[in-house]
Amino acid sequence: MLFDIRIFIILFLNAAYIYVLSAVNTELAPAAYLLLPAVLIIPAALFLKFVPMLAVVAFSAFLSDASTPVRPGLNAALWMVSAFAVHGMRFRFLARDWFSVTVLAEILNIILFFFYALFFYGGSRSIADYAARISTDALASALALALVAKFCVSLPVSVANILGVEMSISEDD
Amino acid sequence: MRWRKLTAVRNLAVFAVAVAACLFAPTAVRNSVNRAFEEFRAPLDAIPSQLSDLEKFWSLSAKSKRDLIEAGRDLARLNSAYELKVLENASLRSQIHRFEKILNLPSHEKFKTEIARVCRRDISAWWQHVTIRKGSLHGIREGYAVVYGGGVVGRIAKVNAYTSVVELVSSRKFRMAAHVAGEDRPIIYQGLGSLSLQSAHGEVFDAPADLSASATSPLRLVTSALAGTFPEGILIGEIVSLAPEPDGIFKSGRVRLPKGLASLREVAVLIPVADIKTD
Repeated sequence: MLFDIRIFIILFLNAAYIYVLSAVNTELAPAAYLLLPAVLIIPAALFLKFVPMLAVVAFSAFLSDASTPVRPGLNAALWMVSAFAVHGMRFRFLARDWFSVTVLAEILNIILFFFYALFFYGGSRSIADYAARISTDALASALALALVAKFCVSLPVSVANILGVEMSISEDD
Repeated sequence: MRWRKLTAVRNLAVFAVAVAACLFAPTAVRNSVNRAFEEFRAPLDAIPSQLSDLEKFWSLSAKSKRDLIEAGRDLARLNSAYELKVLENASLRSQIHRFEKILNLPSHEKFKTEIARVCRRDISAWWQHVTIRKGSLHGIREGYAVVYGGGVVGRIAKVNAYTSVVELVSSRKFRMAAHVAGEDRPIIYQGLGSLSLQSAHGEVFDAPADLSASATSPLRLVTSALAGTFPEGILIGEIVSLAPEPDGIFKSGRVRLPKGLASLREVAVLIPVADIKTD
């Protein structure tokens, strides 16, 4: 099916998350920086079919890193690999309870943080300074994620319900 | 069963092609996609700043008449003081022009300012950027200097139609020629990158060995015209420590950047007059 309203719901919500994150980071700067790629990847990976999922995740990645000096495409590739991994084990999260969703989001986010730290090194006075800054940002992001991960997975389901569409973790691809 | 296997193979192929396209597509394609997304995203970045302007407008419109009358009276006093300054400026400017003509000197006026609102701050371990709400349509080009009331903000790193990205003076990628106020010997300044829960810092190299600075008696570091993009004498920060470099000829040290850098709302982009004439 070419037109699937669920794709647009998740795309719209991802754009909204990027907007909110941008506003929050503007106010937090320079003390900390919230980096929450997991909230943009997990809903698409759990609820969409494979090809639309890749398209949504790639679009969100390009939208998210459009204004950052990261090599174009590298972030999108990283996010697609993460989405592929989550999509492959989506049946483990059928219950969508707070604990499982939050643990999934935290693990995914910390793995992506690790790759960001490795690939996107932007220069610092010393490795210790770089590690301290990344640890602060990772900790702030983990705290934020513990509060919002479940909400971000439940929100598209609620929006779909309001629009009269069922959104669940399905077997079809 | 066979159908499922086919779907799995198809999915894997689509995945491989998509990842390969992201990684190995020609640079021109990747850059143009990135630029398209950047223009698409620009309104998302500008909305919070526009909303904050609107909020300020409504909060002001809710003020009582008495407050407005008092503010108007204060502004009138300020205006009359500024009017005198404007007249003084105009007479000084005409004097400079006359001297330039008599002595056949090149024009003193090198930059025009373009005031822009800050709509986004991205200060992380990876990048130190602010996004401003003016772009190529307002005559801004890459490399232009950006300043504010407290001194240097940074340099324009990327220009879109309606927004521009400024590389902050605290960024590790920001490096320029500078000198101590009241001196003319050049020093190299570089940002130190972002530090956790601390105000921004930078560092200086190749400082003359006879200079000394400490946290209690810092030296004012200002821009040098040698940098090209910045006019002479704009504050960068204060040198709070200086120690001899291994060669023993020069000194290097730490620069404390102004606190206002973390809460910028409005900045001025310096557009070279020569570029305006060319355009």
